[in-house]
Amino acid sequence: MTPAMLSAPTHEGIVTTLCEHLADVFGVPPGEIDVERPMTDLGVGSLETVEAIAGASRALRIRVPMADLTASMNLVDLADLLLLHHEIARSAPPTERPDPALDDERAAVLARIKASQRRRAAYDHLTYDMFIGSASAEHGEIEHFNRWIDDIMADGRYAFESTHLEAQRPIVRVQRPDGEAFELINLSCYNYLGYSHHPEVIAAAKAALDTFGLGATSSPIASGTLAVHRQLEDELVDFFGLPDHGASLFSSGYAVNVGVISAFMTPGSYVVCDRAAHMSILEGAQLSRAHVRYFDHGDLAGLEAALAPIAGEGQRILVCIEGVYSADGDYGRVAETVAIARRHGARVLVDEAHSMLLDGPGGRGVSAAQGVLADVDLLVLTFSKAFAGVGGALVARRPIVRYVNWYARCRMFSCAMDPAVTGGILQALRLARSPDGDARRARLHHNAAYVRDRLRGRVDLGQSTSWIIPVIFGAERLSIAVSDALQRKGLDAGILTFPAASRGEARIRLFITSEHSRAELDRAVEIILETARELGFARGEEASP
Amino acid sequence: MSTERSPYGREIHYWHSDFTLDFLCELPLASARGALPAGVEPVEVRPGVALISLSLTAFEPGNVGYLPRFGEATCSVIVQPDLSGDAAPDFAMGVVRITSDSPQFLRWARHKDKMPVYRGRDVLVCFERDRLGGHAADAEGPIFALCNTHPAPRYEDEVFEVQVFTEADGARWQVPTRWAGRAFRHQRAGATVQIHDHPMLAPLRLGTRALRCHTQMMTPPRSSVVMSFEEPIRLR
Repeated sequence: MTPAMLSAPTHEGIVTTLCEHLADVFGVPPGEIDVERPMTDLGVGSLETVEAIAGASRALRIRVPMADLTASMNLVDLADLLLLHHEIARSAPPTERPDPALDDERAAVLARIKASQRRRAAYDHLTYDMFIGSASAEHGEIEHFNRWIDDIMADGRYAFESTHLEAQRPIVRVQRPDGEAFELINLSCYNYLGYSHHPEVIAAAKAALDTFGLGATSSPIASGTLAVHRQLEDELVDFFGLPDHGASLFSSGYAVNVGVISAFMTPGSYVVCDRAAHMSILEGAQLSRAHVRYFDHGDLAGLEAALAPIAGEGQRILVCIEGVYSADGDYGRVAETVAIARRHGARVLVDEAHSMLLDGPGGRGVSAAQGVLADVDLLVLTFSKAFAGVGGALVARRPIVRYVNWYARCRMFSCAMDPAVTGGILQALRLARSPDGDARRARLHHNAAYVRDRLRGRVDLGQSTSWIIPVIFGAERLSIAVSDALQRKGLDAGILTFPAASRGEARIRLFITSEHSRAELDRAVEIILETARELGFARGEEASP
Repeated sequence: MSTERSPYGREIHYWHSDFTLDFLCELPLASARGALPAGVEPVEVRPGVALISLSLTAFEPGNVGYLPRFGEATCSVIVQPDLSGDAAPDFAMGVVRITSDSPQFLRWARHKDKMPVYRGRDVLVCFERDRLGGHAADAEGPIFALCNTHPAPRYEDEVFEVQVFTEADGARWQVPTRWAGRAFRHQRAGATVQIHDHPMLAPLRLGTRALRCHTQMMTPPRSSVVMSFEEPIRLR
């Protein structure tokens, strides 16, 4: 041991010292000690090893708590540990000092982190998803989530889960979970054409109820297919003008995607999804055990890049997109997607949940508007939007529909659609095909354009070109304040936050309908702009004090 | 730097930094799973997709009393939290590797915090604060580079409670940590992460595969960030 080593030990020097002490115990030259082997494998008892280490530590004048030693350590690790303890005990503070300009901030942040150790952060520091999104049902998370909601309710700011006390008309009365009630302009539901409360729809639903009873009381593949179901399937096929196609009804729109994709795709095949595709598409893909690939929202080059490497594998490939996307309100590029998919031998699923009856010739959707209706392999409809009921359907060539009827497990093992709702949907379809539908579509498009025009440049509307209009306020932490403020000012509108919207792009989601009056839309716009000014997400001149 | 005891009697160390970038990237679930200790499961954010966190942190001088100013680069996988305790964390991470331009810090991280350290030669952790970017490299070559793509960051006060899982000394460990500071998180698209085929990232078996950035998080170019690390808890 040299005096220099005593004053400034090095890793190499410590290893040498350890070897010397262990060599004494072993009775072998120090060069024969394997410094990479765990000490437990060196061939002597643990007591002798500890004594040798203690001797080396004394020679080096480094104290190491015995608790820090572990059986799996080798001499290189041990030398590292000894050097750490030497540095902890002997090292001088660095000559450079932390930036004094940050002193106050440093103290404040330190106080904040210490406070957080005593209590959870205030509720507006959290979002639904607990950062990433855990589906666990463990008690800690459930209790934490409930405390979060309790805290918001105690402040009288919990506007979510409000009960709507009447039909989804343009003006609606709602009651919060804490009992507080409001009368609001309703831009929160997708009753786009107003058919949920149309007298002819209600009458048709009542007639179906009288004829078929309350429920189908059986799976559609067994004995649950009623005449009203068959009638709806036939009229859907007629509506699309695709005589070689059929329709398959499901009890929800979500179930269509889950059931169809899991039936149509097999392990080893490929589902290629637009990143903004609905959760039901992703869950269908997951259930099918196909490989899942993604391309950026609306990015056709990305779609090409995803398809090119898998196209030659001889596996079935299904590309999944939407007609109108529910978070951004932009249109799917259906025609271009179909062309690219065809080039690579892939099939295409288009979910027209938010576009059917609302766009295209006679309301036949975005695929029809873009001239590729017959080229879409799997057309997915949802009856809870413009059809104003609940349920969904696959429209596809008859062999595919027959196959899906037998192999979509969530269809086979669920009861068929409610007969009364089916009767109402049938009437909604008939109205939507008639001049009444043309008039309502025209009003819907006009209303949506009016609201977009009034808000554009004053708040961030993202890429919307449809009746779904996002007003992006950004920070997730504003979600509670925005929803509370909108309701207190007289507007019922949904809030989308991460993971339903991109991080940092939380938004109000406005559903415009054909039934809103100009005065209602004007007041809604005023409320949004007032809220934007108050909470700091206004743009342009609106943002000026 | 200061040291305290938690209500459970464990040591807590407070670490001060003045700039952090932490970007999440998507990677195949199987790659993430293969880099984690047994019993730690990645969060599957989409079917077949997990997230890695790549971070660069600029530490102030004086941490643990004697460390000089240094930079740290880490690679972790976002994992399912342990929810058996009283509190739910905001998220959990399984650490794959960390490295630093300070050998002293790596010694602390290895032995005190039970981190899996990567000791490269001539490690560089560089920050381009004005661009909200940075990169890590060593004698083997570049490791990864991060760069913000949002034109107008909006910073907010944040406190995250984070469970950290590691494997060291033949055992699995959980390290309760917290992070406090001003930060901005976003998912704006654009070329933002470059990952290189480097030995530090070898456990992920990524090769030269390009990864898609999921979320970018950054602090202002110069602002105070405090992290607390409790003494590691040995897991069964």
